[in-house]
Amino acid sequence: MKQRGFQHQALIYEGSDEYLAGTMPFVREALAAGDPLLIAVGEARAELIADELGPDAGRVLFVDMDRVGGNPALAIPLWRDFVDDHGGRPVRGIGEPAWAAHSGAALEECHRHECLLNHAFRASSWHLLCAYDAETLDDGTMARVARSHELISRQGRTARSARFEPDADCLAGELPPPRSRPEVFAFGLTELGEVRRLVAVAAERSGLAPRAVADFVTAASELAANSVAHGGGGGTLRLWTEGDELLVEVEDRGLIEEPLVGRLRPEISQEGGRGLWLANQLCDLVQIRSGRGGTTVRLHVPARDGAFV
Amino acid sequence: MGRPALAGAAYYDPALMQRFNVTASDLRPGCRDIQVEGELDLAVASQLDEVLSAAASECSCVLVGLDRCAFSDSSGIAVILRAHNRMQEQGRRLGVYGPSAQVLRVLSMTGLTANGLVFDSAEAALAALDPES
Repeated sequence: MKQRGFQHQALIYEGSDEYLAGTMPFVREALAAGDPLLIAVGEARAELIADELGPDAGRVLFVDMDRVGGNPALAIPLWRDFVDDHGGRPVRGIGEPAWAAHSGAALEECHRHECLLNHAFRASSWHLLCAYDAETLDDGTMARVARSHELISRQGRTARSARFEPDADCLAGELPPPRSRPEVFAFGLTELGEVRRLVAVAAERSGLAPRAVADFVTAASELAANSVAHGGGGGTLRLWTEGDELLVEVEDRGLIEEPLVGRLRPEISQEGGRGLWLANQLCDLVQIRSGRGGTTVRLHVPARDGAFV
Repeated sequence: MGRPALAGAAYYDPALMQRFNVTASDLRPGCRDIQVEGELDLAVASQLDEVLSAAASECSCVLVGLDRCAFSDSSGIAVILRAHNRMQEQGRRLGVYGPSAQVLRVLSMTGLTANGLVFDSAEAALAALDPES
């Protein structure tokens, strides 16, 4: 199959049989054409495909998303490396973006990630098949799949999506307000240490393990430093818990213009631009909203069960 | 380096936090050891930048000791990288050594470990970077 530009296709399936019926022709086409194929899914899905392929499984590259982690922002750098490794040659991929999404916020970020793929790979020649399990995902998620994908496949039929929005603004909109009263702290350059102390104390109180405390503190410190450097000299920190998550957000007066912020692997030669990259490496979920009214970045971390009284 | 190091200690312990300080000493002419203490963030990165910039223009080999650096953000890493990149253009070498657990995570996630800039100890860094060691 001749490819032009980035083809972003969704596969809506129910059950393993439909999953295989939807993915295997795509896999076999790639093998027949000699197109490099990367399958980045959870272990269970990878095993389904590998069993079906038998000895041909060795011709396919698998990345275990259970090991990469659940943050949807980690996927674009992974695909970027794969596409770049093949220097402009047509390549194919199979992903499952919502595989680990267990909350409304995570599903929202999956949708934004899918929209960002259209932006990130506009100029690349490759074909990505994103599998969505219709049995476990709600109607709202399915409706958003139609906005982020050019092609939709279901039960053996593939059609162009009439609702496809190739140029969606992926940083627009507002985050829902905190569901419990947050601890609020206004900071500037000289309060970065105090920001870290507040976040560390909250993280320890939430029962996070020492490494998770340090990761959360480091990510929050990066957000605050970004506010100081790019957001008008400072910002407002909010810290609260919702269900079994600890959240921190930083709001400032800045405007982020690069929609792929935090998803572009920093070069060793570049001097700045590592703050949100780090936050994505360190947290399960990072939500970025930016517009004329300012920028808000929110981090989620799972708290240890029963840590909240 | 007889003082206790933070390497291997807690990832981030507010009780261990201390004021930022940077000191430099020449191990021999042209080879400088820069010691970073406390928390390295955007508020103090310019202090390290000043010391590193001087070293980058005066020395052929620069070591940055992080064993007493309890925390670093990416602006600290950026300052170190800027000095490294400037030195590398002139065939000179810079390496960091002894990072604590938190600092090592930041270094690895920003690509410094993969680029061979990070060493366990001053001795290991010297052996790799200093042509006269």
